[in-house]
Amino acid sequence: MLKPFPICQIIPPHILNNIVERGKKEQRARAMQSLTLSARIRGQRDITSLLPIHAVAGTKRRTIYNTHRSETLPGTRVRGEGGKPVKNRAVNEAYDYCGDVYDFYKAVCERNSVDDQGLRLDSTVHYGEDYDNAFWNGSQMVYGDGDGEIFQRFTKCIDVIGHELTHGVTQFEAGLTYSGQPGALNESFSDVFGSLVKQWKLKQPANKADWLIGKGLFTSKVKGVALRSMKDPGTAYNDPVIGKDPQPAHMKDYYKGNEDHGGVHINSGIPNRAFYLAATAIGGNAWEKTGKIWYITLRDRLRPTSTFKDAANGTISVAGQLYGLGGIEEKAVKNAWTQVGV
Amino acid sequence: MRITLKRSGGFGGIRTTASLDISKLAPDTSAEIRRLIDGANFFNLPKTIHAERPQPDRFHYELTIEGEGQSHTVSIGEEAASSALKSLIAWVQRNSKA
Repeated sequence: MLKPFPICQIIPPHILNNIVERGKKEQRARAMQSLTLSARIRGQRDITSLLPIHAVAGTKRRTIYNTHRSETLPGTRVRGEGGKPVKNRAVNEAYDYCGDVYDFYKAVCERNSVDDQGLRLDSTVHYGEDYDNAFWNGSQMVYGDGDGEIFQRFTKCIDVIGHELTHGVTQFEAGLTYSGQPGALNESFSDVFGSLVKQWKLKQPANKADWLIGKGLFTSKVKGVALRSMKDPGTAYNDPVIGKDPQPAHMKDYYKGNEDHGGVHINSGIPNRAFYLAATAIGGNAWEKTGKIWYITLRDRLRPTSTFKDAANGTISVAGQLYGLGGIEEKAVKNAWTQVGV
Repeated sequence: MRITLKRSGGFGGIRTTASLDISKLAPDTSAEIRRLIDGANFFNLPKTIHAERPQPDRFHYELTIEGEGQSHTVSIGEEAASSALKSLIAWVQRNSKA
């Protein structure tokens, strides 16, 4: 009897199909067995986002799909790990930047992919018609082309790709609920690590970075530099069509409405600025000390219902443990949260 | 009858509002939107249609249709919308742009 995959029935059928097509002999047989099994639990696919998908080999394994403007995921497989660049720019950007994000987590956080067990990194490009968005669906990254009026293609920015992949990391670690303060923290960790991937790639110390999220995504018709500013939340854009950047920089301006799951993309400005303040006070490369403090807090200290206060307490405590109680790092993190009113 | 669609969330978190008056549309267009409203069974939908575990960076919609003695607002997570409801949302976005 063949040994099945550790949690064979939760491997998505499209992955199994690929193994059946391209895997080694034994892998193919196991995948076939799993496909048969998974047919029995069809309809329970939501559990795939709750359980770790064990890797066949724990290394960087990227696969890019193209939905050709449809919304049926994952789409046609167009480039796999080690595959040569193709003519399609979005495919190559998704492949290259996803590789940078994987390398960042490996080198800086000593983390092997989204689940720290070498999870395969699947991305779909050309999702939907003129789709002005990118998202993480619980098991893969998805990128729209933008409408060409407000947004360009979402694969253009390395920080966008870092942001989406970090949603996966958060899902496997703190599991922050996507609503209210835990949701805004979930968004903020994605912005923090999206920005850090970019700074790391450009070898920029904290005082040289632009601290912008999604710089270059807007078309030239939009009056704005980016979607969010971690340095000055609320100042990224001010445009007649899309309005003004609504992010608060301090708890006194916290958004209390119901839209956007209680403003998860709005209130993230507050913890975003706390990270910026801590990183610039500590100095040097933000991904080294401040990034490590935030990463360990996300991995070991936070839970699904954690609040801004919990994140503040967690990061202050981790800073003290890593770099000395009462040290400049601990003080910088504490000051940062105080300055944003947490 | 007036339709108002508020969109929030998405990676960008940009909030937009689209609104249009069905009674001011050409007869063909008006008939088209009424078919979509019926197709989505809009006035019988629950007030919230959300996924149990929302997918990060998906859009969030608030769709209101009022007039002719009826008024209903539904809060919708993009990933939880039926294809009929998605068609209705897409139509409102497309037709309020022009």
